Amino acid sequence: MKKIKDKPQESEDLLLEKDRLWQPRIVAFLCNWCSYAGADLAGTSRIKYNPQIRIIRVPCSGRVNPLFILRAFIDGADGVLVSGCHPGDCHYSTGNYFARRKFALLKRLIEFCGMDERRIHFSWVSAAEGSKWSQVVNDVVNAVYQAGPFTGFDLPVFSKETEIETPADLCKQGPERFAYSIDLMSRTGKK
Amino acid sequence: MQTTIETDIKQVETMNKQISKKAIDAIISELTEGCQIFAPVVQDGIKLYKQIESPEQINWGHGNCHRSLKELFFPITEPVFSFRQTRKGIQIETPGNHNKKRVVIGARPCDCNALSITDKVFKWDYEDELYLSFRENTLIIGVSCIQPEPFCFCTALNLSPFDETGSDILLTETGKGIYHANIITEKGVALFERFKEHFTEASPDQSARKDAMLKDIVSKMPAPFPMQDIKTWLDKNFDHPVWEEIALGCIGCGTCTYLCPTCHCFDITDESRGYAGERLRNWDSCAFGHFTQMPAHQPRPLQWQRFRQRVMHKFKYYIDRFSRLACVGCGRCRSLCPAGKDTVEVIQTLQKQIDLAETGPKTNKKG
Amino acid sequence: MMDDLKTRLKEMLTSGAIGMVIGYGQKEIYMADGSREYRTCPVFLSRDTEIDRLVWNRHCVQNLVTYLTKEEYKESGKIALMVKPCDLKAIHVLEQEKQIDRKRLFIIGLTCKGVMAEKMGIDEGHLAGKCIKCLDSSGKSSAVCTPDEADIVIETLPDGDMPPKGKDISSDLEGFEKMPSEKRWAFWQNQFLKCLRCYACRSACPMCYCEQCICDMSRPQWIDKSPHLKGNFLFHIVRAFHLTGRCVGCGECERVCPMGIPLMLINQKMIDTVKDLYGYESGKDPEQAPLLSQFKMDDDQSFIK
Ligand code: SF4
Ligand code: SF4
Ligand code: SF4
Ligand code: SF4
Repeated sequence: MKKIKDKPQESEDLLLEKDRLWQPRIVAFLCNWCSYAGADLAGTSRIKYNPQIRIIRVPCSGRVNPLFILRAFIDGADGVLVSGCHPGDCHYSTGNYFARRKFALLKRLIEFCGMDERRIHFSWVSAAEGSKWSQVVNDVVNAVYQAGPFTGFDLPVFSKETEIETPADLCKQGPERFAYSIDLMSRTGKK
Repeated sequence: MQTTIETDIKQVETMNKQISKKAIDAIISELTEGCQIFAPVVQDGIKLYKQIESPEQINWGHGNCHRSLKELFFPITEPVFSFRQTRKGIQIETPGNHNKKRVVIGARPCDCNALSITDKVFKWDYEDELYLSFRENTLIIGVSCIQPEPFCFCTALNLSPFDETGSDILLTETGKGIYHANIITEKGVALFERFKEHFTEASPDQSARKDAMLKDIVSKMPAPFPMQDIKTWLDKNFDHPVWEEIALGCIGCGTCTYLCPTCHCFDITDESRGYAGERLRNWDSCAFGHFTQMPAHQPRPLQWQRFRQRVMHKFKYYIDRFSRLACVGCGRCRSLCPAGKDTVEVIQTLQKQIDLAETGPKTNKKG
Repeated sequence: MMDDLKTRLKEMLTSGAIGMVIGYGQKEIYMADGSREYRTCPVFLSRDTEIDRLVWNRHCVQNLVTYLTKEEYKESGKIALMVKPCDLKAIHVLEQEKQIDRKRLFIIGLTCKGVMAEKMGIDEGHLAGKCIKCLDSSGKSSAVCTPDEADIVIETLPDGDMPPKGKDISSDLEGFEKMPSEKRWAFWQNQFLKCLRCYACRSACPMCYCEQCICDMSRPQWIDKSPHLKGNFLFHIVRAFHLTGRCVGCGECERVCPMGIPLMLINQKMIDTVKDLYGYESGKDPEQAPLLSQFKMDDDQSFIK
């Protein structure tokens, strides 16, 4: 338990409100035909796995628009998992092949921008792989746990004490002192 | 064309004082306690008005900021209110007025003058509290341009690089490290009273020097354009075929309007997450293809019509309403347009049209 | 050579074979100190008397292909367009995506030896980053418009000596990638905070022709329209992603950005990634299938558990 969060807003997750300790929030996009069924199997076989994962069912991994993943981060996810059928098993024959290209590129792109690679995961889980599913979830939760809460969209905090060296070194520029807009933006910028 | 500005900014009889650079720095250092200070800062190759913490951060160099002064009063994005769904119904919260005291130092005369243009819009039929409360709580110390940027053309619009409108105090560097200070408004006087010991009376030769400098600079800059004639032409020629030609090349990027200190269009958008959200006011531009699509439809489907709108707004519509031009000649649009569109060129093209219309082209060609 | 071209274009305009010439021209601009300077800008010529305005010099930076997909120029009949070898790639992508009809185009191919870098309206005094790759050591362009792609080729090179090279985008990229991820994120945070969301980068991009951009949608609003950090981040990642495998690296987006945001850093990264992962080069061939509408059985999936 790394960091105690501020008092969550009413609309936020009850779980957070209860123990007020940081738990990773992980959004998982599962294809209807394989991974979702795999997760179901894990459930019916009473395989235990970490509960910090919130599943969104989609028809196919090919349906996962990269925007879904980005939007999840914007809206406060700490990690994202996308899971679909193994290549060759796609219910729509080729959906996951197309998806694979998109995911590879998106992953490279956002990691280039500086996203921690422990936050974004992809897997192939078939309907018969209940135990693989639980393994994947546990791995993902662990990785996100280690990465900690995602604060990438909080405004960079610049104050005299915690002079952030990163951007300053980089662009040879003084710290951003957008105070007036920070003031305004932090209202929308907070998770 | 530039009629006097009848705002309720309390002008006083201008006082001529003199102050040294050191004293200015001292005043700023003292002001940082209790006030937010904004000044031009160069960062990563661009110059912006930013909040500063010590006078060393100020960039006193020539030239204007890339983003105009308007962003301090009419921020690029600003919440109007926030809403939240609760068990008891929908709760709405307004952010309230901005009442932090702020001082802007180093603003250029064109930017300050432009505020008098946006002022009129924001307190026209509806009094915009957010903007006006920013205005009310901000004191502006302008700095005259003793070396205009290559693209400036304020003199062509009957303004001057030493223009006092909009500033509370106007500094003019008359010698190395010596500034001539005009104290223009009541706010300016209040600041002067507080830091009286730093100012000295302006010597007559300083004032004379200032006048000579102004004369010298203005003599080099473009002579006034016949804006009255252009307005008369615009009144009649909304449908003139030349518009299509004038606008050729414009890619509709909105750079000219976003950087313009007098453009003031905004868009309203709601952003919500879960049960809570905010209504925000963001800058918008008539150059965009989707402008005003939110309330109704885009009445100007083609880019040249949108380009015409920008010119018309600056040189006709605004005059119709508020009897002055909505351009201060800061030159931002000219220098940064990616397609090389040039407001001065537009004015000249229109001038040529007028000459063509009146048979026997009279040469009116000082640029 | 230029004269031949001008005669030919004049003939074509009078005979109605083409409706408009989009090329580079110069115009006189009035400076604050009373001097007059010449500035190279796009010109749109539909009268044969104007053809003499065409020029070909080192300041012909703008990618004119952008205009082909704009509404206003679709009605102008056949368009004669001045195209640098690198801009030709943009035409290929548009053809590949069925956005333009090659028959409506008369391509004036230019032989290029590099153009000047321009950023925020200022000539930076050295070669544009994209040109460095394109030029071989002798200073000649390795990419030359060939007559089978262009309808007419101008072989005259612009006058003047070779300007200094300036920095190469690849070395920037290398340095950038060496930094730890938090620093990279912080760098972009700072850069994106500057963004005005004026969308000049989008307007200038020949590949951004969507009538309804996802960034303007409000129902559903996938991308926050407001220029705060979240909205800007999302916008920039989505912009880069939508151009992955389509961006030809013309550098227009970075050139026009009034806030000087180094967008080419992201674009170049994605150009390299696409080449590295799938051996795909956008704009190489108008016949190839778009990157994301094709796949291979053995595409990389090492990152998938
Ligand atoms: S900056 Fe230039 S291209 Fe962009 S909208 Fe304005 S006039 Fe058009
Ligand atoms: S129209 Fe251009 S010159 Fe006039 S105020 Fe706006 S940006 Fe400045
Ligand atoms: S041109 Fe620059 S400032 Fe404008 S939207 Fe693009 S990145 Fe942002
Ligand atoms: S993204 Fe930029 S570099 Fe790529 S094609 Fe568009 S304008 Fe050119």
